[in-house]
Amino acid sequence: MITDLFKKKDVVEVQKVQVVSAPDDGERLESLVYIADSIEKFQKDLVQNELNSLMEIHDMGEAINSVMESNARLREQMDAFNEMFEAVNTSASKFEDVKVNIIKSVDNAQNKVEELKTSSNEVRASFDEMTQGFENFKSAVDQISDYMKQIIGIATQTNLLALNASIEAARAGAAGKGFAVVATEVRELADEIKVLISQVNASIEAAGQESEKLSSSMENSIAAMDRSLREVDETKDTFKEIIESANGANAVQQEINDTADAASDELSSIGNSFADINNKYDALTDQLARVNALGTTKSSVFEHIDNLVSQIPPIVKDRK
Amino acid sequence: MEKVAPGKENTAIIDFCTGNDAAVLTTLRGLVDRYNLQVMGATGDAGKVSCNGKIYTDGMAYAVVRNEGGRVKTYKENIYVPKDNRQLVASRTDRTKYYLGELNGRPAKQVYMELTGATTDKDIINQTFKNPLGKMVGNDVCIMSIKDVSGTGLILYRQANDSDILTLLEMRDPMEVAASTVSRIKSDFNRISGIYSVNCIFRYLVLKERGELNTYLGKIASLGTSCGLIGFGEHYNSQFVNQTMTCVVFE
Repeated sequence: MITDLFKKKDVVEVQKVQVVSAPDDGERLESLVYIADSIEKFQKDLVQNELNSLMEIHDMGEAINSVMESNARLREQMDAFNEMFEAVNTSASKFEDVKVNIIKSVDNAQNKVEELKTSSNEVRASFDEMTQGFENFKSAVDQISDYMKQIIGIATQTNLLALNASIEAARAGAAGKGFAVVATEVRELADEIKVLISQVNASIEAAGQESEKLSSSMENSIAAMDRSLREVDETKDTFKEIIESANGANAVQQEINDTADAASDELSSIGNSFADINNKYDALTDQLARVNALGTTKSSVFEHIDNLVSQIPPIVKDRK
Repeated sequence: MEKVAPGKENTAIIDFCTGNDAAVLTTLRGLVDRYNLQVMGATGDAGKVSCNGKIYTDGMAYAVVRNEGGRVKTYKENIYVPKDNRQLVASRTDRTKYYLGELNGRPAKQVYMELTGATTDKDIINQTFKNPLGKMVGNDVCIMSIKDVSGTGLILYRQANDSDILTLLEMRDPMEVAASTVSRIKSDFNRISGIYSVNCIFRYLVLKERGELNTYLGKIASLGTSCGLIGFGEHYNSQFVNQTMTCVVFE
C-alpha cells in the first residue's frame, strides 16, 4: 500500500532523529563555547581599539595644550613688541621739543642780528656825518689858505708901501726921520707877518694831509661796514633755511607716528587672529571632552559584554 | 518576576552576592530594563549569603519587593568627587584578579604615587580613604577602592578593564554631602515610610574617625524610619561600586 511506504519512512526518520539527538546536544554546547570564545576575542579587539583611540585623543589634547601655550607666548611677545612702538612714538614726540628750541635760538640770533644791523646803520650814518664834516673842514682849510694868500699879498704891498715911505722920508730929510723909523717898523712887522703866515701855512698843510689820511681811513671803514651789512643779509637767508629745516622735522615726526600707529594696528589685528585661533582651540578641547565622555559609557558596555560572555563556558561545563 | 508583577517605579530588588558582583549585576540588567526595576545591595561578608535558612558560598540571594502603597527609588551617595579633569586610561588589567596594571601607559602604582604623594605601599593602601580612584560613566562616578599593591600595579576592590577611563577622587565634606542627599530625597518624596541603606565599611571608618557617624545617622533618620548595614561592596542599579552609600526609599 502507498500508505505503508509513508509509514516506513516516518519510522526510519524518527529512528534517525533519535540516533542523532545525543551527540547533537554536546556539539551544540561546544558550539556555544566556541561562539563565546569568539565573542570574547572580538570584544578584546574592540577594547584594544578603544584603548588606542583614547591614547590618540589624549595625545591630541596634549598637542592642543602645547599649541595654546605657544600661542600665549607669542601673544606676550607681540604685546612687548607693541610697547616698543609706543616707545618709538614717545621718542619721536621729542622732535617737537628740539624743533621748538632750535626755532627759539634762531629767533634770538635773528633779533641780535637785527640789532647789529641797526647799530651798524647808526654807525654808518655817523660816518656819513663825519665825512661831511671833513669836507667842510677841507673847504674851511682851503678858505684859510686863500685868506693867507690875501694876507701875504697885503703884507707884500705893505712892505712896498713901507719902502716907498722910507724913500719919501729920506727925501724929507730930518723932518722925515720919525716917519722913516715907523716905516721901518712897519716893514719889519710885514716881514714877521709873512713868516707867521708861512708857519701857519705849514700847519694847515700838515692838517690837510692828516685829514686826507683820516678821510681815506673812513672810506675803508665804510667799505668794511657795507660788506658786514651784506653779510648780515646773507645770515638772514641762512636763518630762514634753518627754520625751514626745523619745520621739516615736523613732517618726519608725523611720518614716524603714522608708521608706528599703522604697525601697531597690524599687531592688533594679528592679536585678534590669535584670539580667534585660541577660541577655535577651546572649541576643539570642548569637543575632545565630549568625545571622552562618550568613551566612558563605552567601557561600561564592554564590561557588561565581558561579564556575560565569561559566564558561558562555566555554564556549559556544569551542563556536561 | 511574573508573580510579583512589578509596575514602573514601585519595585526594587534587594540583593547580596558572595562575589563577582559586577557579573551578577550585568546579568540582572536584562530584567531591570524589561521591568523598569531598581537594584540596591551589597557584597556579603566572608563570601557567604543565605536564603531561606540555607548558606551559599557561590551565589546571590535577592528579594524582589513591590511597594503596594506608593513609589520606590534607589539612591547612591558619593562623598568622593573628581579632583580635576585629568583622565587616566586603564590598561594591562586582569579582571579576575581585580588588577590594574597601567594608567595612561605608565605603571599604575607609580602614577598613583605621583598624583597623591604617597611614598610607601602602606601609604598607598591608606591613601584610598582620601583619594580613591573613580571610573567615569558619563557624568556619574563609580568609586573604586584600592586594596593592595601588586608589583608595579594595584589591586582594587572591584574589577578594572582596559580602556576604562579613571580619575583621581578627593573627599568632600561628608556632612554637606549627606545634607544634599537628604534634601534630594525629601524633594522626591512627600511621605517616606522607610529607608534601607548599605554603607561601605570604608565610609563607616572615615565617619567614625571624624566623629561624624552619629550626626550622619541622625540626618538619615530625619527622613523617616531607617535601617541599614555596613557592606564590603555596594550595588546600585547595574553598578558595582566601593566606598559608597546606596539606599532604597519606600513611600
